[in-house]
Amino acid sequence: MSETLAGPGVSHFFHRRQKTEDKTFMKITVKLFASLRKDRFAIEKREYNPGQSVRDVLAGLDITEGEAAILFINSRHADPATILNEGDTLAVFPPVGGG
Amino acid sequence: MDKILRIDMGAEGGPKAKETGLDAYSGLGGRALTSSIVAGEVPPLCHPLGAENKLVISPGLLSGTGAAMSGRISIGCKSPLTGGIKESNSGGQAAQVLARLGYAAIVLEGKPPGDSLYKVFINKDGVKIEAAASLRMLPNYDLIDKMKEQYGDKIACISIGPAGEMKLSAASIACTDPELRPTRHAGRGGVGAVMGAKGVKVIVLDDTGLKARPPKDLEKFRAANKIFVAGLSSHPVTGQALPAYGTNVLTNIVNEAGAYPAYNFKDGQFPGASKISGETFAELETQRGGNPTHHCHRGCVIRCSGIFNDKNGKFLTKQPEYETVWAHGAHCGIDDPDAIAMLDFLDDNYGVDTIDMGVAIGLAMQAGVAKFGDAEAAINLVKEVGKGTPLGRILGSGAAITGRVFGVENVPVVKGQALPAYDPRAVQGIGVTYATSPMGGDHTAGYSIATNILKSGGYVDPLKPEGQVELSRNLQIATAAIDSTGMCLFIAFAVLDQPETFQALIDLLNSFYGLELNAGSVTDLGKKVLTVEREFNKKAGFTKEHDRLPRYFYTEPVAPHNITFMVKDEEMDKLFDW
Ligand code: SF4
Repeated sequence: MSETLAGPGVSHFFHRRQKTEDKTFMKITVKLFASLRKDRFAIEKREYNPGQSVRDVLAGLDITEGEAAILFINSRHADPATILNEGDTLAVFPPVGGG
Repeated sequence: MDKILRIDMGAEGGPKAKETGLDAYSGLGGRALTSSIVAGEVPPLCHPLGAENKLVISPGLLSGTGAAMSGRISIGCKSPLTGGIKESNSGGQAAQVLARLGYAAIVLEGKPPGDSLYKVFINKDGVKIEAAASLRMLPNYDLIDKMKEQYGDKIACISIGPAGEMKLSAASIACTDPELRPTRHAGRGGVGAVMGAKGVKVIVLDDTGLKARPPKDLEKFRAANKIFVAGLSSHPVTGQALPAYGTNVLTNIVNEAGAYPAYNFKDGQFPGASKISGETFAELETQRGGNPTHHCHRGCVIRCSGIFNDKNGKFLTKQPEYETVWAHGAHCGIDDPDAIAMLDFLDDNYGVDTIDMGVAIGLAMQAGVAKFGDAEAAINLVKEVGKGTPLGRILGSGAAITGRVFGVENVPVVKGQALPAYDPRAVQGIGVTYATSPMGGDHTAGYSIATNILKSGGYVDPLKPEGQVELSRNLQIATAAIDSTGMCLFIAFAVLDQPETFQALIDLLNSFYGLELNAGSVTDLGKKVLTVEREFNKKAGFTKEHDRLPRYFYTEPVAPHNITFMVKDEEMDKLFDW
């Protein structure tokens, strides 16, 4: 529930490993919502290699593209193919509705 | 469901009930029926609180049958809030029970002399109308307790609180849920004030001894219902997200999209959003022994509602809806879920629309009556409504009146009705619906959020003006049709995405009534309803200049997108050209 900086999980290990490949990382704030938080986190600042896409982030978090129905980068809709930039905030939502 | 119950509240010697056939209204239900009766029988220039107005309460075409999701009720009249035609839609048990009692509609007509107050009881043996002075100014929860004592717990009630009796233009009509709590409301447009003007405090419905309405072709009906339910259960929105988090799952996403109006539409994001999100509410509800997954009527399989308990684990209110959380939360700068739940309870108890009420409080805050973020002050302001003080009466008359009384310039209303929880600058499609809907500022009338933000039924970029008129048109047509079936609008998430679920809905209607409708007939019905509503509004004095947003949405950009509303007037004027 609360947006804590949750502890490292499998995904953290994944991007650690990548860190060794390149020394200049992008800092990306990743936010997960609703059911995607289960066994993951609500919000984390994470590091990625330059040039990585939303798809790479999702894969690292073990989230399928079907589960990640709605994506925002800095409050604008994005696609799995969108390339991330230093300082971006990526928000990932499962299919949701209401009204 | 082949008769209409008309009660002349102003008849000589006291109210008189008579039953008529459907006649010219045959084949109609829900919004199609309420709007047709209002447009056909109410003089468009009448005063909404006068004897000439009528309050029409109508279950949908499939209400009272075994069809899942079919328990929505439409309540129509000339609105004291907008001055135009109104259909206000509610969940709760009333639609199913009223339909099983055989009524396609109850029409309250005329007006009793003085301030007489009545209670109406309907069961299989007929209709009883009794004076009910002892119920005067009872809040909804106390009222329903009294009705339970008198009639037992196998009833469903349609009632007004003190706001309706005071004829405040944001007064709602409450419908009881399966546990007989007055938690579901026909909130919008001040329908409660019209019920108050008719002198009816409560309608008690008892369908003991009556069965579900029988379909023409039982086998086909059952088969269609099975496919329909399977489609709703398998769709991720209706099968997972709505049951788990309710409508308030939207707080985080709309905030993330920069379309979550904060501090009276000053910002497009609210710093406290996560504290009042659906995720937070669901966790609180579970922790405190409430329940994030609950149905507003029997037969709902989506179960988007929930039970909110207070800190001591005692029932406080139903899970507040997204718009309620926004109106009392971000709009007022409040990020305390317990305060918002208390406001939801008070609104339900006094019988006011949570949207117009919350927006009115935010406007009072803007004017300095209280500080943004002061939850205690907000609670006290709503209590003023319950007490009927002059301040309470102003607030309970909604956002437009409150803004005017306190000299606020930026008042978010269209046709006098408060805009709900989506900034029309950051979601241009919903701006078109707000501006053009015959209902006034309303989101459900053409829920473009589905396509603009949630990528349901396609995708139209929310930040561009292109494609928004067409999107809103199609959604307004579909909604007018769905609102006539008694189906909950949330089926649309599955119906828009899954052709077989849409077909199952049509098959339900066809097998029940022995009809041969297709997708085209559904569209035709929606268009017919909108046309009738627009005609009424035209005669009531509305012009195309009323189909506009307040000026500041065109001139003042909102963060984070720094964008204004850009859809052209001429484009919006073509929305209803078909
Ligand atoms: S989905 Fe929600 S609003 Fe619709 S009928 Fe069910 S509980 Fe009521």
